[in-house]
Amino acid sequence: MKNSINPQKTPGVGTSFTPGVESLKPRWFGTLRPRWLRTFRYLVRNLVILTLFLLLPTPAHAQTTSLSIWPPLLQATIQPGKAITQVYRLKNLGDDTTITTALKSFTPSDELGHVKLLGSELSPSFFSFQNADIDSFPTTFPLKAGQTQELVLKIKIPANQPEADHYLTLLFESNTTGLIGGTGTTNQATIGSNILLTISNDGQPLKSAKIEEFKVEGSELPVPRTRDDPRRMSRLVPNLSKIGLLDSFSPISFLLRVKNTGTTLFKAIGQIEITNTFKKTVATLPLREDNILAGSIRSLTSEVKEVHTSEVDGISWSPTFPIGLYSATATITPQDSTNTITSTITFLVLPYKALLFIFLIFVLFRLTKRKK
Amino acid sequence: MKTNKLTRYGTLLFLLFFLSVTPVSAVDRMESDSYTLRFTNLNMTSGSKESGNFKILDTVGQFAPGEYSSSGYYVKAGFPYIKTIIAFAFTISDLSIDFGSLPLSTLSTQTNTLSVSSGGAGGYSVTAQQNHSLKLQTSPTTIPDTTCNTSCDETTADIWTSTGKYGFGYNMQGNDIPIAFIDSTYFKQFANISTAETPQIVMSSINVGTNRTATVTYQANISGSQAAGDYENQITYTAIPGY
Repeated sequence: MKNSINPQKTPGVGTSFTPGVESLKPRWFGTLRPRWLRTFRYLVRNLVILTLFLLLPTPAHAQTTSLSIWPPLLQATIQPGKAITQVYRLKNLGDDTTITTALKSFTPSDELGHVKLLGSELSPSFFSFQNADIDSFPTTFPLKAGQTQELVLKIKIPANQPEADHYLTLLFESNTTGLIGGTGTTNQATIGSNILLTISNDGQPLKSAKIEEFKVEGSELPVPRTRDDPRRMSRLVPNLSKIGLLDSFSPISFLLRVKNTGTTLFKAIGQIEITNTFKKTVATLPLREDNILAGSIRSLTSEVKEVHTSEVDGISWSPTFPIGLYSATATITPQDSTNTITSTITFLVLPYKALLFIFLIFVLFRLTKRKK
Repeated sequence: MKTNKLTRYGTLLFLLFFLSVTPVSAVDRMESDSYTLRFTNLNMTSGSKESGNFKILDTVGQFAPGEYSSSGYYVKAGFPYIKTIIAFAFTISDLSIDFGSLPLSTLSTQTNTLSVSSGGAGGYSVTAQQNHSLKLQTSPTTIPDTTCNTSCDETTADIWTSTGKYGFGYNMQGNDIPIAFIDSTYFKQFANISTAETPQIVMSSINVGTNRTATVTYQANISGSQAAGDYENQITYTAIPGY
């Protein structure tokens, strides 16, 4: 009976929707609540809603790794017995992680400037971090999301270290790995920055180069041969077999491979100059100043003056309807030296595809006419 | 006449006021749509510098681009490449490739993306390697690396569309990927470090580029005779700028 609805017991003015307990409530319970109580109830209600919201399961968040490093390349020439320092900036653009550093030697993996990591070749005692809060190299440290860590790398060369080049990669390995519930694979990211180190007593090591190969890419002129003397045409026109034949409507690109024949790296400074049939210079193609490591070959590319995202490989020349015999001379000088090397090639540019097409149309036309 | 004088003085006062309130902009940041110049560590060792004991050339700018020489050394300073202003950055979109419970004789796939921004003069390369084949945690039982429809390994790709071919492999689609991945049906094995295989390039370029992105598709397929359990391994992607 206590909990049954009994309208007669509803107290005072207003309306109560809680039958049976009305007698326990003060007369103002209902619409005539004091302001402090309304505020209190409002706060409690919002607090409950907020708590429930926070306790709700959040949607799955894919764990990411994103690291950036500056500088990507360090080039230094150091006397034995001396030391340098360099600041690296490592930024974490992904989730919280810990970073482990490592230092490995590398060799060129191809002729395009990519690296192949090897085991460390120099003693780790050459390298150390100078940060107060980071242990000596190699080291592990936490890196929170959005945090940038500055690392001061010291390279100290022992006094008795012989002159030589050392090519190394400073690696930062993110120890964050994914979490999987069933069968699957977890990913891990490592980012690197290259160090090109030259140990030299006088700072002027000998730099020498050789043009290993220089040619126009594409089809080559087939060497005309006769039954009597297969080499007759070659004798008539010297070096005919070396002339490249290109189409006037096709892009013209060059392959230029330069070998570092010295014991130290250099930047290849140079260009390709193109002259036409009348020996007039029609184009000069500047080359990108790429590093060529000691004993290695590098395929050089055109100079790129601004940031872009297009695919530009090799050295390309895009003249407006070229026709005739052209010569291209590649000139390369190792930076800080006078050992200039050159190589010249000749190539013939004709609209032979268009001419062939016109010839075929003409033949077809004649054949059709003859049948009629 | 008075009005003209007032106008003239008014204009003069306005110009003086305008010039006096124009803030002097700091010279520590310059940018346009195509480039941003960042001056880092100016009080430390970045930029080109030398002494009698060493010379050092990194790829960041200095206050006064130009040339200088001292003690018999000769160094070029400044901005030999405008592209070198971009830091080298590498991102993996999702570190967890979870197949869950693999259905039998069904090609199951999962994907994530790799992104690279490279400002180095020599482009970049990203290599991939797995610590071992997909393996049960409690036993040496593995899901073998795929051999595709006919034959593929860590260096050569082949079409893998047959549900009768079992294993684990990957495909790459997007920017700067190896030419072996002709389309999304071509797969390779991951280089296996436990068997001394060489890490393989999955993205590379000789050019400057920002946000070069490629999608990795991981594919697995098991036969009815595969032992039950959760098979796992770890794949490490190593991104290194060119030189």
